[in-house]
Amino acid sequence: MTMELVQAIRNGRLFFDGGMGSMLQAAGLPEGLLPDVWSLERPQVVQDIHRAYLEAGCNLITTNTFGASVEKLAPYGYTVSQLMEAGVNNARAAIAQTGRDAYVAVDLGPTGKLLAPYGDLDFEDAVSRFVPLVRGAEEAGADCLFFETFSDLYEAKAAVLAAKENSSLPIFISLIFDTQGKLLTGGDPIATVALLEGLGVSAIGVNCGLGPLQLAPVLKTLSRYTSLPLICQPNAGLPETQDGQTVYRVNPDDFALQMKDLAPYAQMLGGCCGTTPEHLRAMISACRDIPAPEITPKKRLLISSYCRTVEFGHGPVIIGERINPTGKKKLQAALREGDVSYVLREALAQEEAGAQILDVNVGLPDLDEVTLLSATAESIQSVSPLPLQLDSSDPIAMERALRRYNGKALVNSTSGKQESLDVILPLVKKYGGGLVCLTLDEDGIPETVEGRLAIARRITEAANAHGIPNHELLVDALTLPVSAGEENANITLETLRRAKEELGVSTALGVSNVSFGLPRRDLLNTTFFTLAMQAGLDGAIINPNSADMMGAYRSFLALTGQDAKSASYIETYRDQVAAPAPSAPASDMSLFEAVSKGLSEQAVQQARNAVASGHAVLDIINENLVPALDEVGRGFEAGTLFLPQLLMSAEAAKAAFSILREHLPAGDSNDNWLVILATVKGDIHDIGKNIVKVLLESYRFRVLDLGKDVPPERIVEAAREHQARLVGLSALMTTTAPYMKETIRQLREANLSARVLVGGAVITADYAESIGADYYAADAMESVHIAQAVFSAQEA
Amino acid sequence: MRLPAEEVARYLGYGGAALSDDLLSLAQRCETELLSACQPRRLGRRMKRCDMPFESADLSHYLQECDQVFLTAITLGGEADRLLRLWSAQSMAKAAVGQALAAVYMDECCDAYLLELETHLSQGEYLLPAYSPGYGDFSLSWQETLLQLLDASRRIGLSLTAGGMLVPEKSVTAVVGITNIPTRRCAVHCHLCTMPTCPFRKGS
Repeated sequence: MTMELVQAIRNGRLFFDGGMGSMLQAAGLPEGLLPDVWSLERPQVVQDIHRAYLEAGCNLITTNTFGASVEKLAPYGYTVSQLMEAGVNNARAAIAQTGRDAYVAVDLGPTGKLLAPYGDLDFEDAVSRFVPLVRGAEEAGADCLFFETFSDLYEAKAAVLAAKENSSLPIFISLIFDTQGKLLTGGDPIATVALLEGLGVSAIGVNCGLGPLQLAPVLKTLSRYTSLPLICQPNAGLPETQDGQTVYRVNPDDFALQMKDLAPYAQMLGGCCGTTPEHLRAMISACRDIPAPEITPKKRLLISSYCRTVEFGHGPVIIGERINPTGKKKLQAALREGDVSYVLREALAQEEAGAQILDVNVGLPDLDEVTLLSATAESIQSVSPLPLQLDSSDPIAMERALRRYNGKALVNSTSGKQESLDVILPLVKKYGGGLVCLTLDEDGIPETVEGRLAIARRITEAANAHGIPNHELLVDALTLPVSAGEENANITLETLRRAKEELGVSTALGVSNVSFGLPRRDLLNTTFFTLAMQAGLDGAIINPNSADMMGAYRSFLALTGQDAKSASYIETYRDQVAAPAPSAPASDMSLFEAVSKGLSEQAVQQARNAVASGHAVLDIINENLVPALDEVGRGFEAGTLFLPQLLMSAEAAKAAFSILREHLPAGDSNDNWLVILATVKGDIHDIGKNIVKVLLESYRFRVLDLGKDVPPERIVEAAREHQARLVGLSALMTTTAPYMKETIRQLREANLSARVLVGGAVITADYAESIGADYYAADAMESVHIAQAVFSAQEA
Repeated sequence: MRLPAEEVARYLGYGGAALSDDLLSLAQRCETELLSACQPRRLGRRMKRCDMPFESADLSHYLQECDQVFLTAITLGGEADRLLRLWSAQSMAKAAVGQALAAVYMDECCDAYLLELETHLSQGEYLLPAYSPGYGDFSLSWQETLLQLLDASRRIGLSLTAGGMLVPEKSVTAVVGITNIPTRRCAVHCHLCTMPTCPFRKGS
């Protein structure tokens, strides 16, 4: 039955039914009652509605199960299985009663909760919420699953994965867009196609939110990009309020006329809110004879984030390579210390420099890559709209990161080694992704073009055998140094060119290896980069912070007609007549002044100068940094300067200190000045805590920031592990402050000697005392004073 | 700047003082990013006061001369939250300024929405200032019901965390009383608040 359905939608039209909610309301559904409950308690009403749609000509009936979840059904005393069975039975009964042929789709809606990072629902929790629904639907004998009115691609991914892993039913999924053609969390039709086709659903579409006229642009974009059958179920116009009720004004005849215009773009038509059997009858009559659009494979390589899609094949794409710990001491330190902000700043800097995709590699031998790769990718996705290239040789780390990735990622990489293919290909098939294919195998890197092409060919064949077409692959011909062989560059370029031509793949390459061992690497890198682009390079894995490399890129676009009127080129370089000016001359502002005024760049410069002129580092700190901070702190407390200035000074001091730190004599570091900070469980506000963190760090305290919504147990564990002397807890809301009390209780119970400092908008000195805190900080500066008191007392 | 700089300063605890030039230009940069990224959304629903399920003595007192109310929800949306996270990664000074700016923008959106709701009133009807869960004894625990009555999660993507916090973060829900008495026209919010020592209180 189900294979038949998949065939049917590829060969012709199907007609979904119309609105159920408004029909139930018209039949007397009380406000506040979950409509799904009537599938069990008023089956006759539901069957009547199904019958009305069947008689109007609909042949894909959706069950009255849209609002179902374990949670929502529990108060009524029903299980998901019961509901699914009733839902499907009602539809089948109505079909039998009319004697018509029709399919039954189990209708499933979103959870109504936002997934992290926008909300607090973890991705895997979201997946598990859909599992019982999907299983119930299959057990009840549905012909397919129909996820509809989803407004977030991440939740869509969770639902589809739950379906793929727990049932074999075809998956149809339809999303709701706004008047700008966007999803609630910023996605657009192209990002929708990238993600959902990568996951292998059977049909995608758009429903609700808008009427046929407003929906047209979204539908047309979907149609241009997708290789799947399309679903289109608009509302009967835009909602209007009349006497406190929501009404939809488009009548059946107008609805039918408007749907006629959409019919050439979608195989499956239906209606959502406000539509009735009359609307559907008119629509079916008008559209029945319009030929269903042909399903043509589009062969586009789309790589996406939650909102942005990069399409390969329209010139080189810049993939920023900087988030890779190899040879980068500061990044290694940041990864080891859990300094997420550092990694995010690196990501944002590359984005500003023009990167279109970011490579993420966190492979260090002493780190838990499985957790870290995924966590790092998620952190970057929480602030940046750029798609990511997940880069790891650990297949478990890759799986976890790929599973949790919000969008369709680039996977770096597989090689021609059998063990690599066996592990990576199934992952890419399951989760979707563009796959970078390295032309090396168990015998190493071939020295000839033919050798590398043979591996590329083998990889494409293995990929095809897994159902991954060539256009999803990017062959990386590997760059070897010309210093090791003068033909090396030629071999790479020729392999690249031929792979693209002969295999119909895209190409990727990291170029900087070409110049290894030679002087003026920058010259060789930029020239090789240009040659590679000319040979057809698609994914350029480079450092976008390099002005030379980006210069080569922009020049290439301008010279090859890929920059209309050289507009981008002019925009970037218009203020530079010749080569860029050398950096600004040194200022003669003192370090003290730079910190007082909150000027980070000058503070860094002055710190360097001070070290260079031979001053003892501790003297520099104690005679310049600390007095400046103290003066600013006093100004803040006196009300002559304010929070942003305090923070700018703190950040300038931090920046200066990061220079000075490298020159501290051993033994003078303050590793034991450790303060643990956390926003307590249930609370997701962290600006206050982050402000305290910056101030403490500017005074050279080390801060272990556990983040927000932290359970008491984790805080206790961290305090124990680090023998922390001071723990700072923050809570913003009266509802979460009790977790402070609980955390303190657990800390005392664990017999830890840590002192506890509390603060937050609703916290008072009285409350702090009542819950057993040692200290209460009314503002950020007080936290610093308290920390200083705690640590000097304990050292005395 | 489009948004009032003095309001940004007020939220930053400046009392009546003005932002310095460098902070003003920082605020301008945040404003540009925020306004271009945000898509504020709002919902309103008119209902009879007697149909409202909330139990709160202070809310009843506030609504004593009203037969009808608007239930409202406004959010700056998830992109505002994303920018706040981004700014926190770049610089806490920027984050603090950005946070204040978002609060001012939120205020502006709320005020604008009240003005819009006024156009849906009949002759002789006036709006009271908005009264949100959390005011007086109008418990935050009513937040979930309020959102359900508006179908806010589906229509504007506004929901609650497990801990009862609104997400996206820059969001406001409120009951707005509709009265026939012209002397109680829409006014500033501070006079309803029971925290006289609030550093952001207008007029202090």
